[in-house]
Amino acid sequence: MASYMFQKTITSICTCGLQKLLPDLFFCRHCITLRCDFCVSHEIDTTYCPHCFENLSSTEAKHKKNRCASCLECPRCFNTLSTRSYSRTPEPKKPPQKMYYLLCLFCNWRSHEPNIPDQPTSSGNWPVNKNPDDGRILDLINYYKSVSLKEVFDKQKRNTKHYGRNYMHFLEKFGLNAMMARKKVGFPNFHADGTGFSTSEINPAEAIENVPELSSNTFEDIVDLKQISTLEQRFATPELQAENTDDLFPIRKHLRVKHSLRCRVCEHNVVKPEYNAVKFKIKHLAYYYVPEIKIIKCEPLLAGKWSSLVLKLCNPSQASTAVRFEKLDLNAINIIREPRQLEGEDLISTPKQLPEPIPIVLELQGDIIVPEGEIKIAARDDTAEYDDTNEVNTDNDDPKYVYWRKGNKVALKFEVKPNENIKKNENVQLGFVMHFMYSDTMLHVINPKQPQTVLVPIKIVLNLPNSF
Amino acid sequence: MKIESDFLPEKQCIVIDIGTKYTKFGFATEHSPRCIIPTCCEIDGTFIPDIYKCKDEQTLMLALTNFIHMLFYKYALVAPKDKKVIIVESLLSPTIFKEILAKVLFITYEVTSLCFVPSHCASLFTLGISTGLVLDVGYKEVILIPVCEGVPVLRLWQAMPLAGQSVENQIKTRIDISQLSDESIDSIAEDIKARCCFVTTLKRSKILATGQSVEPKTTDVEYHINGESSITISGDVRETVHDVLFEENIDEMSITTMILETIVNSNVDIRLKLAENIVLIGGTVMAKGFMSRLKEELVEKLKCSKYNNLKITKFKFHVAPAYENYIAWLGGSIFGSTNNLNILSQTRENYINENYVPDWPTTFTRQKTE
Repeated sequence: MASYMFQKTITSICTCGLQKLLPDLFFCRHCITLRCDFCVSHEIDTTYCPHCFENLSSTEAKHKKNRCASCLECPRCFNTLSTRSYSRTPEPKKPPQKMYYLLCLFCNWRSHEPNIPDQPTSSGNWPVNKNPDDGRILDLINYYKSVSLKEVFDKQKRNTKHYGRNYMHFLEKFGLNAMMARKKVGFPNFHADGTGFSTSEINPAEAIENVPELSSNTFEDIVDLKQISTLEQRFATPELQAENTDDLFPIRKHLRVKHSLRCRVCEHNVVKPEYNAVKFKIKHLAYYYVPEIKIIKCEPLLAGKWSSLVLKLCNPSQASTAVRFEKLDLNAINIIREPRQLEGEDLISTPKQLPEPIPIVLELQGDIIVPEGEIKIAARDDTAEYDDTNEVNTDNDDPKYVYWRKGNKVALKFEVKPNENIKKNENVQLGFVMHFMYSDTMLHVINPKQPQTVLVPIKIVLNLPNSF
Repeated sequence: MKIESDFLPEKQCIVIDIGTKYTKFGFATEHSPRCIIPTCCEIDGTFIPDIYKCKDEQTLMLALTNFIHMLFYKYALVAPKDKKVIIVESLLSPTIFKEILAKVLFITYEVTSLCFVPSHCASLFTLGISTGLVLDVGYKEVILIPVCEGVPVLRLWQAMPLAGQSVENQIKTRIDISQLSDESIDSIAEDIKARCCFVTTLKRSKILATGQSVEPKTTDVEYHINGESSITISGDVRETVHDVLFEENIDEMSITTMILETIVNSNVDIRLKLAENIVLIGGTVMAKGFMSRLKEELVEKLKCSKYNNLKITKFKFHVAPAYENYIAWLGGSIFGSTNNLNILSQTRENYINENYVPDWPTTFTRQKTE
């Protein structure tokens, strides 16, 4: 069922120029235009563990290096490890003691393999492995830090000379304002005049002449590939990169994030998840506003011949809408991209440089006749399904274009003519513009107004199969 | 002084080393990258296996946008807005790649500052030395740039397409993988390279090249694919696939002669220093026996008439306190912990005003200090 969501038969062109499926698009209610994954800015809302679903604050996650404290992953197959227990009696007279070890239920890896001792608590203070050269790297970092500080001080020292007896300049140099300015740029706070500052010493690395040779049994040893870790397993812990599978240590589960999406142009939220729940506070998906188009009938396409195509439009919103169609003008396809605005709406954000829109490259392989005039579509009504009468006013419809109508759905007739030179078994790409009436139901706090309606053009690309 | 700087709510600085095959990613001042992931991404469902191969500007931009998005939201879990970014890159990386990367980071992701650190210089930070002959054996090519007192000597650069990829191509031609599985030939070749192969000694390689067999004979390996089919990898293949790196081409160039050519062309006073400070970086040098083979080859080659008058008797190699595949990253991380980062980075405002990325930090892009 979900596969129809991925079929790229009917795609819409997003404001940024990418071709997307309707379920992948968002609708910014302030710019009144489509947005996609690519043209919204992502923000991190909450960090959570994908296994135990514990929410972590951003500082906590940062402190734990984006790893969950309690969940562990198998180093061999990357599935979640489970904790197993057994009882043991250390001394005959004492009560038995429970001991815990880790087991991967998928590949049967045990924490005994790398010789991790069993732990007396279930949460287990499973040991954390460190790079044996940690100390050396820390020395290097401190050394280079002090060298660069010294550089800064030396520069300042040069600049503080020859001021005579006037001390006013010190206010500029060492005053509160100067200090704030320095902090902003990221310089260290002023440290007297840098005298008495010395860099820590470090021993430069010694190059070796006697490089490690291949051990003599490399050639004859029988290689057991099960014992040699794959690159994926090695790179899961970059600081260890164990080559023997026996030396692989359990990995702490990597955290994930919930995104909240914001329109880049108007800086309004498009999607905002709710804390600690699989729900959304705000979700302006295009799927809730834009009439969905589906193909219900398509006559066999023949090169140079007109054949009819019936599309079903379904209005998902609670307000009735109207659609109007237009042919897709390939010459003007890259022009109108500017965001529209409702009346009385203020732009909150300051204008800034936005990513360039992506030029649309489209090639149409045929001609299409779109229905003329405005076609109304009723609002979605969940109770209509149980209504037997199901009467719809079809008086105003032109039977030439409207095939049938039912509730919030309407089937429309299109005529399609593929080009003469169309090849068999090649999809016929066609396009049209659908203007749909978006009625703004937002509550305007600043200046309450009557609901406004705006015509929103959406470029639709059809990719009709041409095989028999 | 130190305590104060530790408590300051410093903005996190992100260090990215985008390699041809694997990308190293992490935070500055940390001792190892957070992740090493394949440099690949998806655009609208189409898989892009190699971002560097995107020739079209538009595709490259989309690919980089998606890739950076994945790095930040899947691994770093921080929004890139107002973050500092360090890119560790090879000095020979294409300009268009650099420009598009800067555009993506500054405009799409709104990072506050960006700094490009040459990987060859950064690698020396991990050793605490300032002069060395840095040989980067990556996936696509081997690049050699000597660094003297912290300055890369670009005049002496050498590069050749002899690296992990050529080893994999050897495996592909010598073992018929395609008969077993059609889709993932590349990944199988890589797996065989990483898990079964090693670099044999010069003596053995010479005998094997003549077609004779040597004692002790290297064992064959039974390699299983998907648990369905298996293939025998002969011992000869296991030890000689890496020999392609040391074979001289029509211009008498190989990794060995690259090093010697650089030393010959350099100034007399640094020749000895370079020969005694060879730094190997990149994933391919992690192959077992690579370093000793390289040394053997160098000593052997010294005897030939071309390099005879070099007054060098020995070659010395450095061993960094990290694995070779992320040495350049670690250098970037150490650089990111210092104050020079703030001075040498290009800020977002500057990029928007000037609208270009400098090849190296100039007075046009660096912040005014006083």
